[in-house]
Amino acid sequence: MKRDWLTATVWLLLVVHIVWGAARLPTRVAQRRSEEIALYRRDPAAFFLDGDHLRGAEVVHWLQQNVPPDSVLLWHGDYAGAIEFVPALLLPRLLVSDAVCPPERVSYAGRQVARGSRGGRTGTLVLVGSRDAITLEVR
Amino acid sequence: MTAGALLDRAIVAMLIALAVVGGSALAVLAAHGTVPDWLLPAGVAIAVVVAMRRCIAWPPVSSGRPVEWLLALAIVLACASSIGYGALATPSRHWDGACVWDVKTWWLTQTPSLQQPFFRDGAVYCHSRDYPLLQPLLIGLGERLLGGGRVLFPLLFLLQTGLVGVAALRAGGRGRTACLLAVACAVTPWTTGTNAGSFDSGYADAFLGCCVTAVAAGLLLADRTLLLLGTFLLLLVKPEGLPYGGVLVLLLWLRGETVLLRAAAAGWLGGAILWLPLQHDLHVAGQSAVWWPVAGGVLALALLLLGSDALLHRRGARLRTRAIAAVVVAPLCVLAPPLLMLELGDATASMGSFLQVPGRALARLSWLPAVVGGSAEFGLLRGGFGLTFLLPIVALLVARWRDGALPAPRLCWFVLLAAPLLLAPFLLSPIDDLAHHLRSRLPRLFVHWAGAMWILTGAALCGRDRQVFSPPTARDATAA
Repeated sequence: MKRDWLTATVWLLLVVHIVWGAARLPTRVAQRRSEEIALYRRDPAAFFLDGDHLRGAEVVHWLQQNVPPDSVLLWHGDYAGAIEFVPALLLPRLLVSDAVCPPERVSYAGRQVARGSRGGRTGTLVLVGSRDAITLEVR
Repeated sequence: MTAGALLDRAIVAMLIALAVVGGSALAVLAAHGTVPDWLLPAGVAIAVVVAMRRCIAWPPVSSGRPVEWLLALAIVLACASSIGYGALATPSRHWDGACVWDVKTWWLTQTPSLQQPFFRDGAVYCHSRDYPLLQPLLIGLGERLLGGGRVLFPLLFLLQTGLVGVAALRAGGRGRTACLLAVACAVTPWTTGTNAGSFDSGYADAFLGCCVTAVAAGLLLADRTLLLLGTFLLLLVKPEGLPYGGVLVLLLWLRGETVLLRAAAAGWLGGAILWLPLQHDLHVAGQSAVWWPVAGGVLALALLLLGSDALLHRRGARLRTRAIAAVVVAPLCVLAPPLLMLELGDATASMGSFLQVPGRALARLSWLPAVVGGSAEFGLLRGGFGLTFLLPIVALLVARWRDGALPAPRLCWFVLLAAPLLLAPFLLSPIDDLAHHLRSRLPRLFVHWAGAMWILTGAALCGRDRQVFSPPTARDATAA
């Protein structure tokens, strides 16, 4: 008798898990997913960077509009942190270390090294990555 | 053909397709070639033909009422639809999904080859360059063929859910029990929702979870096909697959289960012979090859494992003798392959950065209570996994007390032996912020084991069903 009661408890726990999980489907799963998708579609750079309290979404926007897709962007700084999102957000541009490709070079691996004018200066664009931000230098 | 048998064949077909397409595509990449677009449909066709020839014995149990199946199917398909919508509506919306996996997928979609600057030029920013490439490659091939490669994610969800249901049915469970278990697995919040590591997050953890689930089903049912395919895929999906496979092989060697050991060792070592040289190739940008040293090492390990198993069988060795001999075999299974990975790959990347300073684990032993406490908090209390990790413990204890024997001892031991692998990353990691590390990594590690936990719960519950539905034996008839 006691053993049947224990087995019934296991079944009850299984049903509790299912009911609890199923009850979350409309709100915590479907609704949250729809909200996340809407937010992402509005602005992927802001979704990732602002969403993770990282600075630099406006730099990404500027680069998306002003740097040709088939170019190389130079970078230096922290390998981890905000810079991790840049290759995904700026596809198909390639991110290349400025230690290997100095800013004086015009092309790298058959692609143009990105140049532009920003803040009154014209030159090679170099992204600087830190743990919590991406900034842009013109050299 | 019953619905269960059809589902079983569909699951095996999918696993074969993943292994055939993934294995051949990675071999082409390793040979510095370009993966042909016809490989995906050809692999799927081969898988369907092979799976349709599968013939297994089914226990004589009640398959349940159609309404139960339909209700379970409706819930599972609702979850799969939500995951499919999340996967296809946008690229990955979570950190590693976007930074690591999606970028590789994009380049492999343009050209399914490693002969391009993104993979070959060390100066180009490529996050986790040495990570296994099965997931991005499959999505890339799907994208080129159909334009919706990320449909892989809901398919993997269906694969995992189906594995849980079919394992319960084949273990002697009633149709209703199998349906309940499959639905319970499907509605687990962390995997079905939108979290880092869930099915549509773009991470490869849920894929690895499917492979672990296939291995768990293979262990429960003593099914060599599931064991072989699951173990082979483990290594091609994420670096953690290598030690998971090592623990599995060690367990089967310890238990002296030669037939299963051969299947698991073939999958594990087959995966290693394919992945380790490719990882080295990525690290050195294709400048040198290590096929022969890896093949030699793998062959030596296979000979040692299978030869010592045969020798111990001939001598009638018991578990105690094997446990003593494991002093040599265990390090070769669990430690040697990751160290080989460290030696051949990038010591500063993925697993390399964890293994670079092994002494760190000793210095951090004082962290162990916090790591165990964190595991209990994230696995049991925070609700992300519901009762996924509590139910098997309770169900196994009840079954042990009720029947006088532990159900699925092979699977129980696998989970127990693999448990330290969940704690090890925190002691070995270069990350010093333990609270942050626990928060970001633990749920993903639990995703690897969620399906296996439902199979374990099923093993405990189906033992009861088997007792209820077992046909009377000659002994019962005599007693009557």
